[in-house]
Amino acid sequence: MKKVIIKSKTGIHARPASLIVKKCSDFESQIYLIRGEVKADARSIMNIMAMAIMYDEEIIIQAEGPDAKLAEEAIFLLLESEG
Amino acid sequence: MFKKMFGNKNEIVMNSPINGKVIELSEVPDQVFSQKMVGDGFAIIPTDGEVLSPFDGKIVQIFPTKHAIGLLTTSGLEILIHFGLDTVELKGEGFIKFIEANQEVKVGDKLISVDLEVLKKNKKSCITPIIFTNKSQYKSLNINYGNIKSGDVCATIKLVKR
Repeated sequence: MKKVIIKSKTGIHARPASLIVKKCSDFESQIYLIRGEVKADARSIMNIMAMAIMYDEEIIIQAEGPDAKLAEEAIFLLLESEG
Repeated sequence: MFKKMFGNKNEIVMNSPINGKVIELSEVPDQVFSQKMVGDGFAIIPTDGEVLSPFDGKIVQIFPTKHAIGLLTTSGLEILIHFGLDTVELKGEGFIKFIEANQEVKVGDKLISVDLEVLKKNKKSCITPIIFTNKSQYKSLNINYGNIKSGDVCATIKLVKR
């Protein structure tokens, strides 16, 4: 489990969401983005978009599976660099 | 003919949401879309900025910047309409929305209206990728490339049987 603060002024809109989905395909684990009570499958662009993640929000990245640690790290780096 | 129209429930037809020209997704100058990272589809070079709902369904999300709309059709197909390239940077300038997230829409309902002059002034491409974002939902797409009017059939989508 990793926490990240979104630094992109425009939030996680369609394009960064696409990059997240693409990155997830490198891993076998189930990967989720969590904000409060809302949990999105990071492999679904619609799920991520529906969360409407905005600037300065704290998101938890949670992966479950054989490469969970690597997956969390990769998505963390992606979310950080998008901001 | 009737078989073609009514015979196959696993096929759905999509009306063009925009007036313009339908082009291959691979021609879009943005790799996220052209490499089909998040799904197959096509793009439209709009001749005006009126965007109508291509299906009956529900708005999954429209971003505050109003440039991207996620739509879930009543048949369960996910569609992303991304008006222009890098248009997120306009922060909503030139975009008017007529719908909200979770709202039900009917085919032909107005979704957004875009001032193409604002895009031009800010040197943003108006090329609009339309992506079927859940690859597991469909087997194949048959796209009608070329000039199109909104409301005309622009694609036939063969769905995976459930």
